[in-house]
Amino acid sequence: MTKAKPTKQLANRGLSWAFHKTFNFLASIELAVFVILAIAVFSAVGTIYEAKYDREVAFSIVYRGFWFTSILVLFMLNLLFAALSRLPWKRYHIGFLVTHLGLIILLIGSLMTALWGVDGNISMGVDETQQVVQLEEDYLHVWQAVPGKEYQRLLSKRLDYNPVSGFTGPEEWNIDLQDYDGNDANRRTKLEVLDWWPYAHRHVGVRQPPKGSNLGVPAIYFRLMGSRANIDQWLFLNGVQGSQVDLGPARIEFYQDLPQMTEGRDKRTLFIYLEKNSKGKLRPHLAQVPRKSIKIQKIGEAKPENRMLLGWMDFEFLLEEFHASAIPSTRYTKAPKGAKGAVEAIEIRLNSETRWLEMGAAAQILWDQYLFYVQYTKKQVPLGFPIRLRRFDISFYEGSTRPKSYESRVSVDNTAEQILIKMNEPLHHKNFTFYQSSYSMDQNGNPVISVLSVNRDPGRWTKYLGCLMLTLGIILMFYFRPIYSGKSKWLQKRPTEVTA
Amino acid sequence: MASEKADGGDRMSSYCNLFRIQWIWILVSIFTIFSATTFADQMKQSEIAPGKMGTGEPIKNPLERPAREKVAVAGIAVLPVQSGGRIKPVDTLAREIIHLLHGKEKVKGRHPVEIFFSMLFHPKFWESHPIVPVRYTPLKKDLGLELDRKYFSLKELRLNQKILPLTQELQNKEAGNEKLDPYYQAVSQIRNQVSVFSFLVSGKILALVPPESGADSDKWVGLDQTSEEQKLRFWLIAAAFQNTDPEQQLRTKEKVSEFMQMASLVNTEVYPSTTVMAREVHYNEARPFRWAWVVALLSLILLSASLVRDSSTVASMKEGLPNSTTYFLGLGLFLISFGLQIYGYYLRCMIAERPPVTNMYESVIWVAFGSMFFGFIIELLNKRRVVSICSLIFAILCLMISDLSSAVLDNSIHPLEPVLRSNFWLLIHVLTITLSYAAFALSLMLGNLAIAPLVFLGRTSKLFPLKPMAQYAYRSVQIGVVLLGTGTILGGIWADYSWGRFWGWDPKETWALIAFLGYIAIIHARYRGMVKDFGFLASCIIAFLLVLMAWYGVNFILGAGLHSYGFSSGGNTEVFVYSVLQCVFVALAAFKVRSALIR
Repeated sequence: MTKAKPTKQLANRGLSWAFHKTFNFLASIELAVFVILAIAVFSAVGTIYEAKYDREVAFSIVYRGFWFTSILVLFMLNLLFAALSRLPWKRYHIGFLVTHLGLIILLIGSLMTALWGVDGNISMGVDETQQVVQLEEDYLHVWQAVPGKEYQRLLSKRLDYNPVSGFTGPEEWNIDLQDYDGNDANRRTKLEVLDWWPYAHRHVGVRQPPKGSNLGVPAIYFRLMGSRANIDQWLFLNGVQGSQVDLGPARIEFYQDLPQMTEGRDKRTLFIYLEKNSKGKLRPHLAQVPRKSIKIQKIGEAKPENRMLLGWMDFEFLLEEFHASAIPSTRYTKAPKGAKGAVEAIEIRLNSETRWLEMGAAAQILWDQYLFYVQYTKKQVPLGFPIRLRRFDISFYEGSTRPKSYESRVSVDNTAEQILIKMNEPLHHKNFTFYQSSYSMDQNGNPVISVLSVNRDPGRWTKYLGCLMLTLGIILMFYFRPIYSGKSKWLQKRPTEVTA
Repeated sequence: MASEKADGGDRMSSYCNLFRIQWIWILVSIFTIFSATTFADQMKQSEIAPGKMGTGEPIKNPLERPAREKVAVAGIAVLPVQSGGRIKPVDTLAREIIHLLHGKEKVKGRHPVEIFFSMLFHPKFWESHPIVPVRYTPLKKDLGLELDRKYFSLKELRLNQKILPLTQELQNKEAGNEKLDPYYQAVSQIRNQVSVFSFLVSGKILALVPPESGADSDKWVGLDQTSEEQKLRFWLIAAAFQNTDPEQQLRTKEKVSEFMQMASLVNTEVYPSTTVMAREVHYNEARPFRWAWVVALLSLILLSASLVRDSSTVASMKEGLPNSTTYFLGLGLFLISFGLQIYGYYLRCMIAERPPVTNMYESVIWVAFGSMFFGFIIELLNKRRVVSICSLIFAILCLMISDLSSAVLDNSIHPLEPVLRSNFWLLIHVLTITLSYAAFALSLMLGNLAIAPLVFLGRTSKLFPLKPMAQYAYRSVQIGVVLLGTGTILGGIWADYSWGRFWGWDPKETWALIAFLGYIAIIHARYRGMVKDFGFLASCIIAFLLVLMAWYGVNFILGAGLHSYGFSSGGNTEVFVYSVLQCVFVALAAFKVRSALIR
């Protein structure tokens, strides 16, 4: 091997001696071996975290963590100095240089991706429109309603908790309030994070509205039972337009009064409506309409212990709870790691009001005359254009439930054109690329939500160049060294010299 | 010095005398191996105890009747049936079902097709006949099964009081996407066996008639729902096949072709030809990969004999080209084994309509193939035999494991997962990476063979000299590094193309990187002189544990990430024991080297 350049005379001369020592160390193969093994060990630890927890945890603890980044920096320096130490470069350095510079370029490309790239996803139901990409980082935003203006953002904080170390808080931040009416400038309040559960079960329920307030609405909790499904559902009556839920084969609609049908619906519909009984109390009643019909068949009053046969398939309706006036309230309980249907939930306090929020949810909090909006979400990056899911299809291998392919048809920029996205056939649009990545099903096993992974990678071609150089360089070093270093016996003019 | 040499010469010549009679050895080994090919089936046959059929009236045992005529079995075997997302001959289906129920393809030496139809027509007997192996002792205890019995009947498992709550618990676990421990894997196995059997008995499993063209579903119609005429046609086949009269049995083929003609008329576009079905039956029967390891074993014996004999005369080693009948015969068998594997791949690709890249079984046989390929190339370049011997040992191990441990390595042919379909780069990156494993495996075997004399004799051996072995190991590591590097990058490009990320720290790709880094570290250490011949060989052995983790561990131990289409379970203990033994082996050798100062 070729030794690094510093000459003997320069040794033992204070600063330059130290400089050359450092230079030699940074260029040394011993360091290279150490760094390579260190990267291997860290990566291995990362995969264990990924297997035990998930990708996000492995990233925040290992791959994006301090130590791994430092090792990569050291690796970069090592490569750079190793290349510099061989100055002036000779012919036989070609393979070495191509390989090691290729690696440097590859690392630069990765850095570009890490700094400026976007790698997230979009989940959409059919006919839903999305404008933003969800990334993996968790954020907490606080907004304030200011009259005459839009919501003003007061605070945006990245939350970096992970299930390995658990909740590392509590944390608190001071918030300067927006001037409300010109009289109370410089008012402050405090936002606290009290607890964080990586896995929590959501329990929907109700609570009684405060005495004298008119916040309560009628609420019903029912169950649909049949041999093919067993679904339970809360419905809250929202004004005159009522509230609806689509449960696969049927639709349930909840109204104050039985609606007047003027045209048929595309699905069998079950109406829940309210009627006063003899004591003047509101009671839920049932009625149904077959598909494409306007003929309403009344079924009768729903009572808690009374199963009502609906007459389609073998479905029965069971009233679990009914409240004439209630406020929806959600409660969370801690769930075991990786439990099905578990959500990430956080407990926050603004002033004296404490709330649990699950990932993606927001809460309105009122304090004096101020109205706050606290949002717990994934980091979102605007696409700059709307994307709408038109259709989602799954096909199966013949006669089996083994999926063969799944595909989404989307429209972008509010056009009517439907573009097909399927496995290995992504959509490229304005710097972003959309890939079919997965889907989720409803309770009946029908695909309802399509998940697209969305990506923007400014480092892509730099990485490809680095990879190409790396591969070429390795092949050059292993198999063409005699040729490019001019030592090949085929290139020698006098073959007799080779044997010497 | 001189006396030592003379001693050595004497000893060598006595070796020579021994190997003069190598032909006897060869004949003996041929005999042993040929009887070994059927040993798996032979050994296990006697294990089923008759009786234990419950308390009811004696049920007539179909196994007491003579086996079906071969021609009859061959005739019925090609009948096309839709199962597992593709059309396969009933032969394949029967093999899969009997293997699932019984743990192996043959019951009492009877052909799986015969047993399959026997189950269809004598469900009562087969339900109460002990054929299902339950091996997991804790589960046996919990179910109250006799511990000394190996086989149990489906009936006693189905009616077992304790199986129901366990199945419920299993369903909860599955609904929660929990990883199953061996206990619940065993429960799941029993549940599958019971449900498959009832599926078989009902005739639903025999989806023999294609849907009419233009129908909504591409699902074939099961025997339980076919028209009366179709049922009748099928009964004619069955009547011929089940007939005790051999003459009648011979008419099976005729009845089958009548049925196929009728079924193909329903939808000529999707109904496969007899040729295609016969090809798959041929693949099932011929077992090219089993014959490949048998022939490879013979080749190994001949080449080893040639190596030992030639190294007894120092001169011939230096001449380089071994020039004996044994050598060329061994090399010829090597090529025949290679050819058998190519033939196997050809059939498998034609049947699956894709290259063999999707599960552990396919990757194991592919690595065996790769190691023989590289072994042969390096052998041609240096003609020292050690390399081809190493590649043979590894390939034989791989092929034997994949052939004999079908419980862990599922050898049935499944259609591809959505993400893997129709992508050229996918195939290239998987094949490249697994080929690199083959090259690393070669360096592993070279390492082991070279340091084995150190461990067992306390000195280096003339047969496996350290320096050239290290040189060959270096060559194969080079091949491996180039292939693994390229393959990983191709995988990145493919991931970029289909998921939009070049590198996502997915466990499979990360472990491929770790293995790559391991070998790169060794190459740098060797270049700098941090390891010498012994150190290099020893590191090759240890580094292969990283390959093992990337290849097996990610799918079978970690079980996480995007490469989830290859996940499975089983063999953890074996791989762990192997890893520990390998480390102990290297440590012992290192200790010997240190004490004897061999570099």
